[in-house]
Amino acid sequence: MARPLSIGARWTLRYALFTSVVLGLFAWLLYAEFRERVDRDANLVVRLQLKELAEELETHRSEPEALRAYIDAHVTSAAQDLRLGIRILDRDGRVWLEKGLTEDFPKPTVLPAAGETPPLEEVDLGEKYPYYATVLRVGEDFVQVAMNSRAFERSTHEMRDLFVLVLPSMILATTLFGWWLVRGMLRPIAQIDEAARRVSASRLDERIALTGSGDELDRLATTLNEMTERLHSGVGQIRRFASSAAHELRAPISRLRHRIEDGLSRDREAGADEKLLDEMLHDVDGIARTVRALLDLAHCEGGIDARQVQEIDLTALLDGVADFFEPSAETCGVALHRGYPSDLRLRGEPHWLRQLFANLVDNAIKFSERGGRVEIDAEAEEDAVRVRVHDYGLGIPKDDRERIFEPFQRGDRGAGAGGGVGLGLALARQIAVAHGGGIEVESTEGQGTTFVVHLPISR
Amino acid sequence: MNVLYVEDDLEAQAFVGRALRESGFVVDTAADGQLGLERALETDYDVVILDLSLPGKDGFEVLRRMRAAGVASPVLFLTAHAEVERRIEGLNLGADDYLAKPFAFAELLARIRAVARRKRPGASERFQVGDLELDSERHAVSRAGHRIHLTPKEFQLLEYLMANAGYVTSRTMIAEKVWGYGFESYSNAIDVHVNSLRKKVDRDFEPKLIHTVKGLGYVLEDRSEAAGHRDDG
Repeated sequence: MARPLSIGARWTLRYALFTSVVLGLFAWLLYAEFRERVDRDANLVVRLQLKELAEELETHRSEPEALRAYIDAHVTSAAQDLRLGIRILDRDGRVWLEKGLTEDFPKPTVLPAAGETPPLEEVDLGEKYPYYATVLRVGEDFVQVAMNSRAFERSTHEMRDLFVLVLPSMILATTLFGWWLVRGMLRPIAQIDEAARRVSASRLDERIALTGSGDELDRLATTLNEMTERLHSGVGQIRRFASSAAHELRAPISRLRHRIEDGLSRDREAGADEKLLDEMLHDVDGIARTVRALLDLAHCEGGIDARQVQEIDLTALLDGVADFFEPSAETCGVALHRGYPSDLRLRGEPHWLRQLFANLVDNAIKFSERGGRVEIDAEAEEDAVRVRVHDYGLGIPKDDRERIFEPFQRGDRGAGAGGGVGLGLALARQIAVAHGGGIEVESTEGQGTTFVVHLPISR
Repeated sequence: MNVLYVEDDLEAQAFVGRALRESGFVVDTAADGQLGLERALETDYDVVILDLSLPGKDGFEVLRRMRAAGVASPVLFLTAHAEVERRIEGLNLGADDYLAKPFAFAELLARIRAVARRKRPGASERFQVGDLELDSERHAVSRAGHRIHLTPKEFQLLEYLMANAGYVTSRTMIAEKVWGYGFESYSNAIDVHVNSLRKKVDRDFEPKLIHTVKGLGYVLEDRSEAAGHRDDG
């Protein structure tokens, strides 16, 4: 396939085509009009001649000598290049007076009736001059007048030549102008393109300079800058996440390595093997949990499989979570209070949602003191459900409240039970977001913390 | 018990295969989906262990064809993908259980035995281990003739343990089967549940029936002299 033309070339071509058509049309109209006028003029001249001759013939019919003299003078005095020729024929078509015409000039084929004015006839004798000729009845006679049509055509030809000469240069000139115009318009885009090219993944902190005019191109540059900004922060997040994840895995792996080295060294007490292997197993389990939590998180970030979304009895789901943690709460001396209505429904993915609420409830129990209380409340709004998990624990310092949702923020809270690797709340938030909702934290230090999850009812 | 083990990671296949043989299984192996499918269609296995990502035909495809051909052997999926969606897809296709890699071998063993027996809690049945009796239909539990009152979840837990009496059940299995998917990572809470069940079922009675299996989970069995030695093959 041929390479597509650039925008500049395409628009210049379109522009050139358009102006050529318009100019050509204009020239053709002008030429046609001019030609018609010339034809009219020729007609007029011939008719005038005929009229004059007819008058002369009528008055001097009986004096051929005077008539001849008149005609001689008339033909001679006519402009040289007109090559005027006059012929007078009798009623039988016999020529009895002739001037300025050769013998072989054809006689009129049809003789008109009185008062009839036949149109001009073009006669081409194959010589240098084509003629216009016509005939008129005067009494019993016919007057034939002929003249060189070149004399008239010359001016139309001159005009045509002028157009042929001038039109291409005019088209060329407008094309060049169009090209200049298009290039002028495209130049800022080329600049933006170049600037955007400079902003590669490794240099996302660069921005495209604005001209400050606030025009369309400035707006485009601003849009691109905003996009770059988002990419920049996104890439930063991914980098931080990857490095945290690597760090999180490096610690247990190096621990495992030490244990294996230790196991390979000979001088160990009897019975140490089992203990060592046990510890190694524990390390591997920890790594597997981290990897699994990371996979869960990554999977949730990709969104939830629409095929698994179903109508959920949220009350039953929350009951299940509360049932699951009830004994644990009891063991910790924490009362679990269920304050949600009995008819909560929404569309979602039950396994993920169970994980979300399990995480929050487990977290709330963990951060409650003995004798404390964890409340699970919920209310249905018009198109969303709001679930609150509230504890009366120590609360979260203001500075930490957004941070706790970031992966690997262990700041006491973030870890949760997502394997205890600092991914629990990150996963909780991701699940809520994947459902089209969100999660917020409200906290008063020393008094308690509330996690508020809002989920749209229908997805 | 004969087992078909379809796994393309040959090192894992050798290791797990050997361990399964040592545990008393007759093991056939296949390293790709096509071969696995052929074996499964030829022989009536007690359990088919299918890795999900296989060259040629993936595990889902093998399972689909097996079921389409009327092979009813219980199927246990292994996969490196922990996503619930795939787990559900597998179960919808007619798999019996699902295990994410990496797994503890003991967990695999417990699950193989569980799917091979295909005993599901909730079926209307009566169970008895030693002097502990459970009647699913009447929702009644008694030990040595004494009626024991359990919460609905405690009842389900005991029912699951009794249905698998003598066989180890992992904490993850308990979480999945009694509470549903989503609670797998809260093994402490499972321990609390089992302990509260123990209080009601075992504390005031001898012999103890619910035993902890280190690093894996629980088993319900009568280990007293009177019950005799149980062969665990």
